[in-house]
Amino acid sequence: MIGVGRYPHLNGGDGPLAKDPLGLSQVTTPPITAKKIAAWLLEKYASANCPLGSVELLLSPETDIVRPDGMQKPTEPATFDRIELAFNKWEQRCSTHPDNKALFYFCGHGLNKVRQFLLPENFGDPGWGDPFRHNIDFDGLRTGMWSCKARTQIFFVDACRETPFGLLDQIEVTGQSFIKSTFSDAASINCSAAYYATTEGKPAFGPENDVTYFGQAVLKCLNGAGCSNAGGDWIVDSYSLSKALGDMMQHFGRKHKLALSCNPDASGMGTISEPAAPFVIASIRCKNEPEADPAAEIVMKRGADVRQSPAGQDKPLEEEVAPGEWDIKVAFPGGQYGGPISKTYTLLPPVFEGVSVP
Amino acid sequence: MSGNLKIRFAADMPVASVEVMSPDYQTVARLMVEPGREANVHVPSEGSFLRIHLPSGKIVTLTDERGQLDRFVSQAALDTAEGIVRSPRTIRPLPQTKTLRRLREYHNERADFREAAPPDDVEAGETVKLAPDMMARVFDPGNGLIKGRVNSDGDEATWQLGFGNVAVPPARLEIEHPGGRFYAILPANTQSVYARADQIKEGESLLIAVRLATRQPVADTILSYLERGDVYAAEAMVRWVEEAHDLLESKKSDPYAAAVGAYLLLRLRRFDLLRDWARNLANWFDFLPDGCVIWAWQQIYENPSNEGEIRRYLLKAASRGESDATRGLPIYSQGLRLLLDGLSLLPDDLEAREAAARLRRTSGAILWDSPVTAGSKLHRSSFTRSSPIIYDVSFMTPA
Repeated sequence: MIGVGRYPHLNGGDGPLAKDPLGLSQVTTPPITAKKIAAWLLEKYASANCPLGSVELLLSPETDIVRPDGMQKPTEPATFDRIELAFNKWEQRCSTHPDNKALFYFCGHGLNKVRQFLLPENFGDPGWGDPFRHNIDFDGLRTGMWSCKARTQIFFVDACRETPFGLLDQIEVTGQSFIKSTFSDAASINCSAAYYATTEGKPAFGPENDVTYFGQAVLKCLNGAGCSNAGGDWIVDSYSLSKALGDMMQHFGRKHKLALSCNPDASGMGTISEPAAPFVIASIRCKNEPEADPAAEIVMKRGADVRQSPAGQDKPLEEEVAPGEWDIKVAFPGGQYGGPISKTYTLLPPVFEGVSVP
Repeated sequence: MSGNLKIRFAADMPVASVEVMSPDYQTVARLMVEPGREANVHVPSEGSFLRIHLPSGKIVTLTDERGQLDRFVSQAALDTAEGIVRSPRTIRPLPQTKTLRRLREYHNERADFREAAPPDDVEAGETVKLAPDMMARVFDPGNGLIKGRVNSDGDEATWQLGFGNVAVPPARLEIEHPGGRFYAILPANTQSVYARADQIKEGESLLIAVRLATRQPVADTILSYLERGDVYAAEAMVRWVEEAHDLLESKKSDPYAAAVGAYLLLRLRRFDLLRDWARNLANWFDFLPDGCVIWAWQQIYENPSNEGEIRRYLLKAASRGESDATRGLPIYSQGLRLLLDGLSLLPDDLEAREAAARLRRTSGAILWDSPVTAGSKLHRSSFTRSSPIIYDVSFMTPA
């Protein structure tokens, strides 16, 4: 898990400015995001056959993390050298058994040209002759990881794309991949799945001092919204997560009025997690006429479980609910939009957006 | 009680993947159903219900006919399930303030209603002015220009392609704006393509959207599913892929559609079905680097010690664009990614390194979430735009 928000050599940094900062500046969200993902792994990740083995966490700026046993542990800064060291330790542990699952999460600045590059804390150090000397070549890293013995490999690239799309066309961007592989290695991997946040610009990356939108989507999906059920068990696998992450990002896009999306690239199916329970994000409003929202009284009911939003309350009514059949009733107590409408809907992960009223 | 469930699609349905679910929300089966056709599946209970994965990305759950073993799916059934009362299909005018959501609805409505330009669009010549500072052109396989049409607002341009023989090199869309150039490779089986430029509320961005429709709606649907990460829905289309490859064998079919099918089988690692079709694609169709890429990767998975063959086909794929790089790129973006990944597995091979560097140099910034290879090249010295440009390339998919 890597979260880089402090970049001394970029705009607003406290170090000597890079010869070309490429329009990049400090970001608050990545260390918060990476810490949350790490916390999820420590507290909520569940798998009957593949329990959590270890977590490597690097944050810039570095902060402490509290483990489930109550012990407070300092983190290390996400400089290139520290990332490389942590990566090597992580890869060696992943390689101890083919049934291990390798999970990689990067949050920070990224440069996307033909290949995806991830920027460590000390990117752009003007003391280096080559400004890209200590970039991380993510595509190379991902293909290089085929030489790792762990047959299930999951990557999340939560990179802030502040550099305008296409600007790098004039620049030869390079990076280091840490690890190499061969043709034979590729054949041995059951699942190599990468999920990329593809949002442009800092506002679409995430709210200040909070988890990125992509990070929020990943957490929701891993916690149960990304489940599918084939064979009686609700699990999050590489394919179900592919679809669910895209749906979740679109949902956040509508909610926050931003252009949010995700690019999944899953090759091979692998189980990622087995959440305690699946859930659906139900987002209920007057889809046909948003002006009717303030006048609407919305009630959703499943047995004794009732969720509601009276007239005058902000809409949509947004709840995390169990999958299944829910009665959804929309009424207009003021009579402005006709009589109540009631229908039963089958809600399944990840997101339900309704209803077509008035 | 278990039984044989029959699922019938009305003629007004698009081809789609149907997920059959048991009453306790388990996925029983996923299968492809085409308009006007039916499919059968054994279910554990008559209480099973259906989820229709539409090409647009919407999933509609149909529960009304539970208890019956003969289900009829039509647009009207989908509308009833969603509580939609739909007036005769039309394209609603766009509001002054445009949002991403509203534009997505527009694209779905347009795909639902028609592929061609509206009848009131006007001829716009070979270079179409898409916005005050934006010019769009479509090049045919011979590098000639195709005349387009533009709408009355001047923000949407449409081209009808429809080449008689699709076993020809691809076409190409280019959009020039003050800061640079955007391109998208168009498979030669493209029937029509349109491009729009809209200022949207989200981030006050400029959204450049491209939509295309080929002669193979199933192939378009497969790529749409994969673009959205709905791999399970795409997996249901494997039956069509087998049929497409049988046609390819008789050289009667469409190598672009066959390549899409091959990509799906490669992703699903269904080498039992892929057999040697990819090698045929690679050897029979020089203009389609994708065939070389798919065959190389099939060898990587099935026969990794065959390094000579793998290397040869990767370099063959990379060399196709030496005279004009964007024309020689793999048609589909997943092919470009696989090509670059494959070349990266030859780090000590000078020719492979040079080929990869050339691809990187000439392809610009790639739009990886586009199903076809598309990218942008900006002129840094003239770049002044402060708000982002967002590109959105996809297939025309009915809602």
